Amino acid sequence: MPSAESKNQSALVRAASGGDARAFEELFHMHHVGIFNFVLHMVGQVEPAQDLTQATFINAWRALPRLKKSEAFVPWLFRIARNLARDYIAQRKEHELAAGNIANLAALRSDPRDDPAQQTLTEEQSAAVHEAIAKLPAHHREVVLLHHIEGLPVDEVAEALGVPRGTVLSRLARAREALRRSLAPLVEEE
Amino acid sequence: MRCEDAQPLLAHLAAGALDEPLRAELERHIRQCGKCRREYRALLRVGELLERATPLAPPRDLWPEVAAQLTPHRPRRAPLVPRLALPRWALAAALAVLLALGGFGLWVGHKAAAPPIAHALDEDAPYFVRWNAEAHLASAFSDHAAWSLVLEAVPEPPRERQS
Amino acid sequence: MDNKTANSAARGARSGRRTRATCLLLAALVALAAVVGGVYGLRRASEKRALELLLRACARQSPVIAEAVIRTKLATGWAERKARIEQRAGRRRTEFVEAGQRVVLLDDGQRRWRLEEKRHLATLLGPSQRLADSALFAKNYAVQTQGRETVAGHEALRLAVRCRRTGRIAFRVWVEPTRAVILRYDTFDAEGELAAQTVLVSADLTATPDEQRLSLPPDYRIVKPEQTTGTQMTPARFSSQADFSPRPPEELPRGYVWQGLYAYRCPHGRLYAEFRYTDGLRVLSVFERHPRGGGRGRGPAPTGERGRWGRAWRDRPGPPSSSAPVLIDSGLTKSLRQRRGDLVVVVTGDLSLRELVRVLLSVPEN
Repeated sequence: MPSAESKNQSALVRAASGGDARAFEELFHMHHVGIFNFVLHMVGQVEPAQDLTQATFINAWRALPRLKKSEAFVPWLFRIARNLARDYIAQRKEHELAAGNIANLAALRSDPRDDPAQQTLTEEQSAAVHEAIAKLPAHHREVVLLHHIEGLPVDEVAEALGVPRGTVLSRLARAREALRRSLAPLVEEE
Repeated sequence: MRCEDAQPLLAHLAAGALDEPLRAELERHIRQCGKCRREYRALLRVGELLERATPLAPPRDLWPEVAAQLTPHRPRRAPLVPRLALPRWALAAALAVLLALGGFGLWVGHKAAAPPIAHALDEDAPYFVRWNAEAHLASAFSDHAAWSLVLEAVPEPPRERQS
Repeated sequence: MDNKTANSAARGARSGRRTRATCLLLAALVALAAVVGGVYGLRRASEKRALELLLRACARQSPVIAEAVIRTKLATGWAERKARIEQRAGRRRTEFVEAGQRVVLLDDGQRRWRLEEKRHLATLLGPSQRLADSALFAKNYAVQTQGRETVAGHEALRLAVRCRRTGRIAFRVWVEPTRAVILRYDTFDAEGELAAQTVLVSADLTATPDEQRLSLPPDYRIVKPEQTTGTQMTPARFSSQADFSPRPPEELPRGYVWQGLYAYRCPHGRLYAEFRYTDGLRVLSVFERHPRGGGRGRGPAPTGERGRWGRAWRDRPGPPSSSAPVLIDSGLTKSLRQRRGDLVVVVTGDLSLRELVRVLLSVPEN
């Protein structure tokens, strides 16, 4: 993440920690799509994912005064989301994404990225990528979502998940192998 | 390095998971081996695909409900110190207290038996006032419309964003 | 000879006049008693009819489609809202505009909701309004007819509802007597000051609201906030779950009866026990929490229900307090807070300050 953006985010986090709801709203708009994608891939259903996204930010607001380092906001936020999603899954006893929900995923519209210069995939290709991610085991899915979709550096992924950096790298590699097979038509040379 | 040794490590290389001596050795092998090179490129393209995939957007605007739940953080200093930095609900309560002081002064003059009572703020006031009001509203004898509007106006977290 | 006769005649005449006067006085007293009795009887009959009309009106059975103005007194002054009110068969819809957004308050006969049409969202507010204890209400409040007036083009009976304990008016309603429709409602606080007003400015008492408008839309997303009405439980169960034992007050204003103990947790995480009392209209809440918000408290668990209270005030020297009571005035109602032994106690209700103090000081310190 560019330095100016991190500085801006840290300032927002400090302001929100002091009770500034507008600053928190900025943080919400910066990260809610990433959180939504993350929890959606964990729980597999849109409605609960929306609820969990909201719950993540509400919990984050309440706990924000206790966050010691504003730079750690994003991994901390994802950790909250992950815990909530895990609690939800434990309650519902659903450990894997139900196949029937993949169609729902495909029906969701894509959120345009902030950088217009970045070449994005077609809707069809994006849907295929999300379907492939959905087929991964949960612990591989998490690292892919945080590192590749949300763009967190490996160290922040490790912090969010509470695992060593090496574990994250290993999981990223194994996830990449699995995705190589499920996305074969899109990645192989002709 | 043989292909059968290199193949299992290609994904780790693409993920940046290999340490220096092994990474250099593997890269040398890739430069020499077409099959491994093709496989490595495919693995790199997985990363590109992931990074170019657009995230899925939630179907509805999630912010307003979040905003409605943003209660003020517990103040770090004694709440009796009036400051402009207080949230609006506290300012409204403080104004009400000042107004009540004027009325209270008159009241004390008429009912001399009442004990002297200091005024205070309480960050839970919106909640226990609301709970009591909700119980009152449950009775059909109370004016549903007016009480509901009063409850709508009870000082509480920031209102939803205008769209 | 003439003088004796004259004196005897004079004595006889005086005696006759005294007897007549006594009879007249007795007759007047009897007549007065009859008049007073008759007036009293008529008054009771009139109050009974007024109460019946009020009960019918509060049941909100008759169909109404109306435009109204609602004025409410807040901490910062009076607020006025234009609203559209529809009702039928105990269900009611109030629609108004707040901060540029249309808001609907719906009582669908089962629950009360806040609907936001733009976002298709229904927030649960609590249970439907009920005429829960009309006997208790009648015991504590007297309903009197005060005359006839025209409201929104309809002839209405003006009813005053007076608190028997304080003698002050609690609310006034203007009711269309044929269909028992409330055309105007003025609410007064415990001090007798006007606190809120709902006035219909035009009312169609023959049109029937659309069934769909009085029902929860099926495609709305339902939101149930964490705490709306509290969880009812026995004091013993609360103590076992909360690690502090709440203590009820030992004095109550006459006419208030015990409704139940309710548990709440506020968004800050503090756990409250509420002893709730009602006089049929108003609600008195005695909230208690541990000073740290839910940690271990001291003191024995409650030994059981204390039964119905209704005894009149009596002077009772209170134990020394841990700290002086403080007043929290939210603009909506008054609350008094004090540390009582190992608990923080907050008394909230539409009572005079003096009555709130008495209730607060009657909570035992241990």
